[in-house]
Amino acid sequence: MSQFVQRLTEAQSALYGSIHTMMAGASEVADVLQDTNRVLWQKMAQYDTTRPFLPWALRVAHFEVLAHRKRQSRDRLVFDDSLLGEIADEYERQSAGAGGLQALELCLQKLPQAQRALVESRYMHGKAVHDIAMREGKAANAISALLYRIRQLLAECIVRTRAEEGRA
Amino acid sequence: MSEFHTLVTAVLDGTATPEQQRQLADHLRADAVLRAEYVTQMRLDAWLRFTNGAAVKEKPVAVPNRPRFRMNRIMAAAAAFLMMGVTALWWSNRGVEVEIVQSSGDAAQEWSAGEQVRLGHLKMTKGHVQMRLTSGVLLDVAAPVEMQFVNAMHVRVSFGQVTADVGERGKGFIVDTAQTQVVDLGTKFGVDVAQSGHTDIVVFQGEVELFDHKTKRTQNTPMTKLVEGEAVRVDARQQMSRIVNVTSAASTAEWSTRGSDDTSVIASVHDNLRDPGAKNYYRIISGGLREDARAFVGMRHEWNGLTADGIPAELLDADLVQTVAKDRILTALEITVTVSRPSVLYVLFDSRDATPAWLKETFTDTGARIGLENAPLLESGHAVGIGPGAGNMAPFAVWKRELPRPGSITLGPPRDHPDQRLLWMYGIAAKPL
Repeated sequence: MSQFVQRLTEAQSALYGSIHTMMAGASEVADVLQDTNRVLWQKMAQYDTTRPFLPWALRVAHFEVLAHRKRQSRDRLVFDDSLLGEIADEYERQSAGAGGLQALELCLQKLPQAQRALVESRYMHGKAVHDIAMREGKAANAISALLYRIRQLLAECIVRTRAEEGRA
Repeated sequence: MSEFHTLVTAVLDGTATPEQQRQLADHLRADAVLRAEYVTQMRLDAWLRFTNGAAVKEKPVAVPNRPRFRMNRIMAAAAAFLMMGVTALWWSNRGVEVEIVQSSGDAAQEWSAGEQVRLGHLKMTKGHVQMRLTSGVLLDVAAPVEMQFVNAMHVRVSFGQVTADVGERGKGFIVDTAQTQVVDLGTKFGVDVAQSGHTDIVVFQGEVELFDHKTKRTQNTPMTKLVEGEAVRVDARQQMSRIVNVTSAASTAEWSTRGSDDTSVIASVHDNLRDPGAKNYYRIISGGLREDARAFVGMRHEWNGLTADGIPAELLDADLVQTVAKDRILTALEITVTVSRPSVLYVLFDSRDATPAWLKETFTDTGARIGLENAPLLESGHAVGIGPGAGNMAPFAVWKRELPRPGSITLGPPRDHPDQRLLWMYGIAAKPL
């Protein structure tokens, strides 16, 4: 059981990211992650320890997103089943391999000071883009575009870092 | 920014309109490259939220010069959550700092007294937790409950029971529910939001204003104002109805508008008041008759031993009904008490007043006496006396009647004639036979 707990624990960021992506950041992401954890926990006995854990867990998350949509009285998810499938596949492809979060930490440290400060404002202090823009005396669009670019840089950096680690 | 970038940004910022969401879906369906870019953006956004404590209980930490991400603590917390089968998940992406004052049940496994945590979204299926916000507001949260912390002066309750003691600094504290917005005017009040679609609001001290759930306080005209001792239910159509009974235990802060539990002899109390403006409730406190027990809803007057000998033994720990002090002037009042088992019903009546005929005819004077402490006004700055015989005491006779079977009994008005002198409303108590 302890191995299962460890794998499930390590998968939390990927599961959260996958549900966040499939639900386009809807407010119920937390609930669906909780449901996913509960189902995974219940299915512990069915897990084949010789197979990779993350793809299996991501498939359960995908089903929980679909189940969540069925429970809604109104269709509040913007993506249909077919598109959700495509997004889930793409997410799994990008998540292949381990060590993403550790690589993210390294990459954040490589960011220039101004960009790191912006990431801190947005994510560590939870400030709205609009508020950051007001404080910096810039347009909200400009801040959004900069954050977009930073996320792209971080993603590229993570891929590079993991490739380097793979070679080492 | 390109249209696609604008759409993804709107989703990430939480500002996307349904039309923008549809446009984004169209792009994603049509183009695998854009799909990969969308996933990259969302995945990084999620990881940045996650690594910054978005998904776990966090002790507030000083903001470091450089971002230090707390993977180990996150993993430890997630493991703890999984191992213990925790029933609460909380999210603190833009959470509010709170201090845990006390916790019980399953919540005690998660939080200990004195702990500082950040809460954004709280969902708890078992247990009870008392917490203090930075505004000084003290919240008692009883599971099952789901709520959001907007800021230190504003919470949103999706369902469940939350009791707020707002103190001086917390005036203006707001509780939103699907049916109404409660704005505090310096008080202690509770809301209980049922998943079936209504909100119960009970005021224990002070006063609150209720606003329409859509227009909220911006309209400036409250639907109604509730003062202490009053409670209403607001349904999905904004219709208000009186809540007649609020039950609680003597030793805890817990309360209910859903009837008494099995431990209480008194199942319910109703009256014949038909005034549509009446909003007062009777409070039934299981085992509540003891020294310094509040005698009336919304007043500081207390039951005490008339002398240092204390409250008569046969009354101690009886179920107590806090009645409504202002009802003493009514000559047509009828109060119907329903008991759940064979019991002795007591009526505590000011022995200096003329005893009404119904009481003399259907009850027996036990000869025992209990004191009603006439509490000094709050504004006077004088404290209420503590213990038996302390304070400005009025003698009340203890009348009793045995009820050999469960059922209802109707008590009459506190006085027979309008011109009759009457000092205080009577009290009601019961014990198992």
